[in-house]
Amino acid sequence: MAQTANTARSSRSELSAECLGAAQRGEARAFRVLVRRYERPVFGVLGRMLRPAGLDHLVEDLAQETFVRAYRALPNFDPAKGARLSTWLLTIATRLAINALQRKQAVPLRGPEPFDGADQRAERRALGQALESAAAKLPANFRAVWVLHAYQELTHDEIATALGIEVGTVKSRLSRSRRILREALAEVWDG
Amino acid sequence: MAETPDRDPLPSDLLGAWELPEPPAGFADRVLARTHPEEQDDSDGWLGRVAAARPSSFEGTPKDRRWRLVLGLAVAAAVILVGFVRPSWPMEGERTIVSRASVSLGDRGVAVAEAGSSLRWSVDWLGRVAVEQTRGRVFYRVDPGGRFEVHTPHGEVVVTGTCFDVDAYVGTRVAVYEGDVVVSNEHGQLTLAPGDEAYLERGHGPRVGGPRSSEASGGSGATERPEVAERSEVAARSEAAGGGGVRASARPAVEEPAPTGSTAGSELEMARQCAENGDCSRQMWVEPTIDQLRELGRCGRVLVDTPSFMADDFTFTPAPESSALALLSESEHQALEKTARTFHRGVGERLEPLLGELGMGSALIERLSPAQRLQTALALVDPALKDDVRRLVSRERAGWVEAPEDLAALDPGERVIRLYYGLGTEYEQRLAAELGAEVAGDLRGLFGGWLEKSSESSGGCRDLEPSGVSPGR
Repeated sequence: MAQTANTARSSRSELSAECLGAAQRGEARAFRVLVRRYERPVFGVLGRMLRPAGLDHLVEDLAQETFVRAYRALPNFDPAKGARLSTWLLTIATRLAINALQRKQAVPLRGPEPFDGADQRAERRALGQALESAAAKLPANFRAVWVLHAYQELTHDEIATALGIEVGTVKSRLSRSRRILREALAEVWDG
Repeated sequence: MAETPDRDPLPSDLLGAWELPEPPAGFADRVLARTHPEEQDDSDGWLGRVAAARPSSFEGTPKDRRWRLVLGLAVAAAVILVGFVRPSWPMEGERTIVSRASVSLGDRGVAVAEAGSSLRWSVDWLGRVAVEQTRGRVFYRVDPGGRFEVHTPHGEVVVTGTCFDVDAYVGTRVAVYEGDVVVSNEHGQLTLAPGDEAYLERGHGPRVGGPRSSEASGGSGATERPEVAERSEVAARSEAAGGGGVRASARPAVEEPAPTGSTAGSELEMARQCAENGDCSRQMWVEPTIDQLRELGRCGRVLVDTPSFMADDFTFTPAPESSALALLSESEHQALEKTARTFHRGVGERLEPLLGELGMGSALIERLSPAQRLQTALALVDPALKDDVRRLVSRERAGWVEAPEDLAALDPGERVIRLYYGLGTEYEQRLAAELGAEVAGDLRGLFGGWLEKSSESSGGCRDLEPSGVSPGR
């Protein structure tokens, strides 16, 4: 079962060294492959960071900004130092999202839709909305830790590096995030 | 197989329910318009860049809008011209295959995907095709032309005009029938010719033949190994039967298990790799030898295979059994499906009281499907208890300790884990009661165990326990 979740959430391998090298040399086609390869996780992080705060309209802008910044810094990216390209890109995206959340006034969220027991897909949508609403209760820094862990499967160390915090802080934020989510979701379910 | 020792405890079905829109079409073009503006007239994605080279929230001044109008007209003219000289139209798509299906990949390619496969693809204006095959078995036929690439979790496959198979499960197997194919990942690259077969897996470069473990066990040529012969035979029969429910010939041969107690050194090394690193061959899921089980027991590792419908019942299908429908008669097929549905429902019913004991309210339990119940129950079990049970079960399988007789006396968390670990065998037994042990075993063995495989470790290996000595619970 663990593998199923892995497959669903982060099934792609990293870009080949050959392609990365070409992108680092500025070759447009290689960089296009890089964007196509990583656009989904980048949109995933940004969407889950920004949608709960009603900032959906910023997702594509920040996704573009993520890749533009990555392109500028790409010649300095050294996979030999142990960093994964995906983690690096998600770091940029997450930091952009946190900055946006700190700058912008969040708009009120729509409430979750009631469950429709007769329709599994409707129920799934409702569950998704419930989770999105629950995630909205997390402060930006907490949401970032949880999203990177739950959806992108970054390790504690990787999250700590990405966000510039201690591993212990990652663990405590993750733990508190889960508690907040559980409580928020319990309200929805019990209601 | 890479492990995620600290998964989020929220049910994965719940996590997966929070779906987001796919990245919008042309996104890469818009990025490249900003990073490579000097290449505006390059044919690589030029249209998208011109059409949408701006942030999505950009409003623009009147002057900008005038320019956009001019550009729009230029684009329209270019589209007309391109329409004459470039017959390919850009397209994107995504499908999870419930039953065998043909998927058109632009003008040049067709994919025949088996049940349980998951595909996402895009075709650009030059007819270049990029496919992301996250799992499953897919046969591709590609006409000569531009680049055609398939990305799997284990590496890339690039072709220029050919027929080939890609199986992406624990690793990715690529079999080439016509044309040349290049397979690669971050560890290396390999060029394949017709008749060649290669295997891609995480942490290793591509290799001719099957998984590392198969080669280590003494297989000779790639196409001569029993497993490969079996798969080719199955594919041929499936083709011959047109995906229908007619059995064309005898059932696939099953690999002979290694003699108990006399595992070869290479096999033991293979088992060690599996036990210590999770790098496990298919054989170890289905027919492990006692020595291999002891290696797993030493490291507290348990290999689990579960029918796919217990992982995702939104796309209910008895896959991978359906991949072998060509082996079954119509009545056998019906019995198979009925058994799968009954089993699926029954597991859900058994999980209901367990979830209650784990503290979940009945109102919520009733809303959960069987697969959701299973994943929720697994998520609710304390990770430390999971580790303990995993180590215990691995020792039971190694024959060092007896399995408990009275499961009802166990902690509900342990019962959940044991239920989960036993699903694969239990389902095979149910099928055996309906279809016979031979058919049930063949179906399970066709893909080296039921489709949903995981290799779970309780962390850390200890010195091998002497045979016959019970470490106790």
